[in-house]
Parts: sequence; C-alpha cells; structure tokens
Amino acid sequence: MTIFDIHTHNMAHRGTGELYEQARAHGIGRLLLLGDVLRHGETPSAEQVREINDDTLAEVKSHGDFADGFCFMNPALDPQFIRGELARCFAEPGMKGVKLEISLCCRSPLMRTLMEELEKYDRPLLQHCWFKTVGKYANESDPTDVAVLAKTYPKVKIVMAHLCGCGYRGVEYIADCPNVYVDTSGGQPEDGFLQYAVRRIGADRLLYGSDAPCRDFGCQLHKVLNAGLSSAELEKILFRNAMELLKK
Amino acid sequence: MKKLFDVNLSTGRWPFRRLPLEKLSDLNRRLRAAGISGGLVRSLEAPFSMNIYEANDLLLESCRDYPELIPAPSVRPDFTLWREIDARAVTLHPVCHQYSLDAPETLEMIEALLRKKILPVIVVREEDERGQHPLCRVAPVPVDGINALARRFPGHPFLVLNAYAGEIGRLDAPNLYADTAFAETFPALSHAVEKFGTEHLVFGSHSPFFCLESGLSKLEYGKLTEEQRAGIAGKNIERIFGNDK
Repeated sequence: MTIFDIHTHNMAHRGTGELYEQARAHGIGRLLLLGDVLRHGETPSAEQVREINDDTLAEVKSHGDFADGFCFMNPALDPQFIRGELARCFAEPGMKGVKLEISLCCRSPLMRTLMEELEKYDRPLLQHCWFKTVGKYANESDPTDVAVLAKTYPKVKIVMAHLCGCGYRGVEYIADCPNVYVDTSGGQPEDGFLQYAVRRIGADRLLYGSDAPCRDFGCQLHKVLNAGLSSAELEKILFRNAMELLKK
Repeated sequence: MKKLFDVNLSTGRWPFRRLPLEKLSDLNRRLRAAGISGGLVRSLEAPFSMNIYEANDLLLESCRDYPELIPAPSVRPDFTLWREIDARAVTLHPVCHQYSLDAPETLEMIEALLRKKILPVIVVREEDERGQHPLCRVAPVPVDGINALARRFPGHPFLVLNAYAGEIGRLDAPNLYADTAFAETFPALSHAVEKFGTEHLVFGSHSPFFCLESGLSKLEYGKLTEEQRAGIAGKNIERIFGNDK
C-alpha cells in the first residue's frame, strides 16, 4: 500500500536529504512539505514568508516525484501580499494548498482574504491546532476556532492538524463540519484517539501525517498501522484521502 | 536482537480515559505478538489513588498469571508499608504524591529500598503536560532533583521513565538509567543517544498509553549498531535485574 504523509516540514537548517531517506526507509511513498514554518518566529513578515516559500518551491520543483508542497502564510499580513504570494506559489503545480501555523488565531476576521482566495483556487488549508492545558501560544488556534472558520467558509476544505493534540474534545468540535479533515499527527503516539476519531467522524475525514522531522516517521506511522483498523480504513487514511484532497 | 524487555508498562484504569490495552491480558497478548519476553509493570491507578495499597493489590493480582512481567508497586514515604515491601522494583510518583526527592523521609525510604536491592523507578510524567485535564495539572519531576538523589546513592541503579530526549540528555549521575518512551526525536532516539549514550538507555514503550509498535520502531529504525540495539532492547536492564528477569 502506498503511504502519503501529509504533514512534514522541510527545515532550512537541516535540509531534506535525511527526511526523504527516512521516509523511504519507512515505506512512505509521498510527502507533503509544509515549510519551515517557525523559522522566523510566530509572526513572520512578508519577506520572511516569501523566503520560507522559496525553499518549499525549490524542493517541489526538484523532488516533484516524491514531494508536494503547501504555501506557508501569515494571514495577518497585507491582503495584496497574500493574493500575490498565493498566485506565485500556486503557479507551481506541486503547490497544492496553504499551511497556517500560529501567526493568527483562525477565527479572526483577518482570515477573510486568505479564505476567499482558497475558495477561488479551490485549494485546502492545513491549520495547526491543539487543545492545550499549558503552553499555548498567543495566537494559537484550537478546535473551537477551526469549527468557527469551517462554518464561516464551508466551501473551503480544512485539515485540522494534530489529532493527538486535539483529542476527543477536538474531534467533537469539528464533527458537524463536513469540510474539516483531521491529520493523525501531534505529540506522542498515544493509543486510542485514532480509533475514536474513526468511530466518530469516519475514516474518510482522516489523513496520516507525521510532523517529521519534529516527530519520527516510525512512531507516528505505527500508531496508525496498529490501531486495529480495517484495510479499507487504512487505505483511506494512509493514501486515498490525501490523493483526493490534493486532487492528484 | 534476541531479548526484548519493556521497562515501561502499566495496567489498570487511568482516571481520565480508557486505554485500549488497559487489561493486562490484552496487553500481554500484544507483547507476545511483538516478541517482547518480559517487562516491568506499574499501576495506572496509583498516581491519583488516595490509597496506593489498593492500587498495588490490584497490580499484584493482575500480574500473578504472568511471571514474565515484574510488578513495580508504588511507594511513597507517608504510606509506610514500604518498610515491609517485597519487590524487585518500586514506582515513585513524587509530584503526584507530593513529596520531595530530597526530604529526609524520602531518603530514609530510598535507603531502605536500596538496602534490599529494590530498584527505584522514577516516573517523570505519565502524559504530555499539554494534554492533561485542566483541573489536574501535574508538573514533571525535575531532572536536577533526580540527579541529586542518584548522586547520594552511588553504585545503586535508578531507573527514570518518560523523560523527554532533552531531559535524558541532562541526566548526569552515572547510576541513572532512562527509558526510550518519550525520546521521540528525528531520527528516532538520535538526541538521547548522542547526549546520554546507549549503555544506560533501556527500551520502554509506555504502553498502553502509547502504541507499543511505535516504541519498537525506534529500536528498529534508530541509527544504532547491533550491539547498541541489543543493549537497549534487553542487555542493559540485565545489568540491574540479572539474567533471570
């Protein structure tokens, strides 16, 4: 079975050689690169966003047989910059959507330009998300924020990142948002959350993601492979849902 | 890699959610399927139980049918049956049980346990602090306190569970051992191996909290020599428990 990891980061300081090597060693056939999203801190400038995207564009152009990319964005930046940067990134066929980190809480009205552009381009958003008891960043989004965003822009497909960080409660908040998918990454390989998510929202809305190299491919992959799911559910989570979401 | 021994297993009811393999019979079946020949088991109830004796009784009862699994009952200085305890290892949850590792009563307890060759197992955390119940926040056991405790008893091994790779790197007393459960760096185990070495690193899955096979994949894919891999898998812990574990 081909495996598509939809949550990886091309980090500027370490290159991608080891990332690709480890991915292949674990039988992963394709990666989605989300950029070195914290390279310039929580609220990067336009110039810094462009620099992060330049790296991802270069990777996608040179390793298109193995990697697709998402355009990174700070949605609080000038709307004209947002439109221009998305146009620049989406001109490259391997750039399939947008990744947001912690620059802006995603329930903010400032999300409007970005979400309208995503609707126009018909591209998905992958939003960092976590329900945190401690250590929450100032503008970090949690599943309540993602639910608000999803209901405001129901035509935009949103991947809520970090199932294991969002937990049971996180799944509940987005259960009635059919445009929200959840990726399996997030923290340690805790057992039980994936099985719950499959029961609650179904395998059609779940995607395998590791968050490598912030996490390890093997740890995150085995959490999915050993969750007791059917082969049909596994195929959707590990491959088919990603292919459909990214229109490949 | 012949022997696989898992130092980081639990059983019972975790107060905040059900875990798929919380019954020891289910967990043991999975351990066997994965080729794990033995393990050290503690109680999931003990950290928050008002009566650790109840939790320990349940643990011992659960382990009775599985001689390959070594129970590590919980001790705390103010529940003084530790004076009579007969075990090969005991579990310490200093933050949950609200005692300091350098308090005189703690040191008295540790000294007595070590005299009986009982291995103290210090659990730094049971879960990622970010995901704890908002009304039940438990800080990790400070690494400095663990180092200081271990230095007071040179020559006696202490086992530290569930430390992050960065924390493992800061364990500096030569009699400290650490497990691999929370050491998920890229590639697997790289930071812990670089900073702590492999001779005192031991395999722990933290199952049933964590997926057992996720823990095993660190051993399989970590950049280790066969000798290092065999050490982490079982030979290092043999130095503590001997070959009869």
